[in-house]
Amino acid sequence: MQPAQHGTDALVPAPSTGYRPRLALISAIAMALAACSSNISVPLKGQFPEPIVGALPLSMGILYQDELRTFRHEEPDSRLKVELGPPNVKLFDQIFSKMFEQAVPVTTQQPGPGFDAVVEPMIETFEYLEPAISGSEFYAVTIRYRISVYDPSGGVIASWSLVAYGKSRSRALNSGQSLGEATLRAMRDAAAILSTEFKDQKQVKAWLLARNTQ
Amino acid sequence: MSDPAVYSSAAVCRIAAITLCVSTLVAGCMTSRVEEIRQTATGITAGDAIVILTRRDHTEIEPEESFHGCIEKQLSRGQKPFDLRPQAEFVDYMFPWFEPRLAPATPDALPELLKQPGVAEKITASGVRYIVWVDGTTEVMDGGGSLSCTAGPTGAGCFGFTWWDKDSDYEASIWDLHNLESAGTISADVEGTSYMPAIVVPIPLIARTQSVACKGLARQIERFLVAGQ
Repeated sequence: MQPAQHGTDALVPAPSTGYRPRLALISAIAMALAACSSNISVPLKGQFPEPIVGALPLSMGILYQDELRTFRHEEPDSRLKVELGPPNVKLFDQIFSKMFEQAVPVTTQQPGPGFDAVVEPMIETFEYLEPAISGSEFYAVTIRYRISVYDPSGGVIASWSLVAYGKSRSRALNSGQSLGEATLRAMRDAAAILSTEFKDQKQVKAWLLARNTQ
Repeated sequence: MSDPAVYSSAAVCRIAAITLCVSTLVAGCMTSRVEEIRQTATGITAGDAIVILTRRDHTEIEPEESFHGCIEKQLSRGQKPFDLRPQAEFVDYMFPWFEPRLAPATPDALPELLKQPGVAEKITASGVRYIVWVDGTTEVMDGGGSLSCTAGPTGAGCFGFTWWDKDSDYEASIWDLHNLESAGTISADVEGTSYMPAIVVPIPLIARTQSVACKGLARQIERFLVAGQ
């Protein structure tokens, strides 16, 4: 390995066998400090599984507002940035395609005839708790969604809050990955609740009964 | 407090090598207890697969990934390795029914789960006969002592003594998906004290309670499933 060409050259005496461990230690500390001073984008990668649920015989419009598509969580006093929009759209696409016989993207709450209703998911809040604050070994994430269902003329059929939770064990020097895992678990939790409890939500149930669709 | 002894890098390396040898030969003290409660006869036939699932409810106690990996590793080797389905694959395959919020908490919930559209067919197609739910964790219970280290231009050294108690307490609940009932429960509880004396170089005498609990639990799961035929 070549000696460092800049930075550490001025601090370290001429390389010799005895100084190599110290040079390595200084380099490691410098790299760790550099990592600490930069922002960390929380990775939210991976495929979401298809839910095993019976599809409701409905033709649903799926509406994603720009607030959802571009939702990002960034705290001024934190180095962590969480891009929640795109992975949530991917998640909802996956579950809605299995929850309804037809799930068609729409751009308005009044798509007109041809649709039984429109469903619109939104993220209201994203909160996380770090182990340093909670005193536990886990990163904990809570995502509060709002799910709204409209009739084809834009009238509200149902609107309710869905609170999803995920946690992941803290990893040394990799807080971004731990927070990313906790966030993905919270999103999976949301998918689990929505895909299994949608038709049992009080107002939706009444609407389905009125339509004779169960 | 007096300054710890300071030695040259070469001397520290020599002492470190010796202490590494000593610490690999000497470990902390441990007590181990593995218990089994059998409720029904078990048996494994060709085509019967097993999945090891960790309980991930929304509490502070959750088995470590390393523990789950250790159990899977132990059960997938040997003369007659089990046909194991990876946890992540199975949970995705059965999504969302084995997510923390929806996963059945007791075998009594299995009939209701199998009534859900498509669930029974998917379980049959997976070939999974037994679900082994692993719960528990390893915790540091107590500790004490003090150890200080110092480093200078000519070397480094440590002096002191610390100790800590660890408790690895795990339980495996084995569910038979053919009969939709609990086949039994196995628990492993390993307590141990680790020591770290330091005279120039720290000598870790680690009680590997989690590893012992894993091996004890895996061995007993294997016997439980095979010997119950």
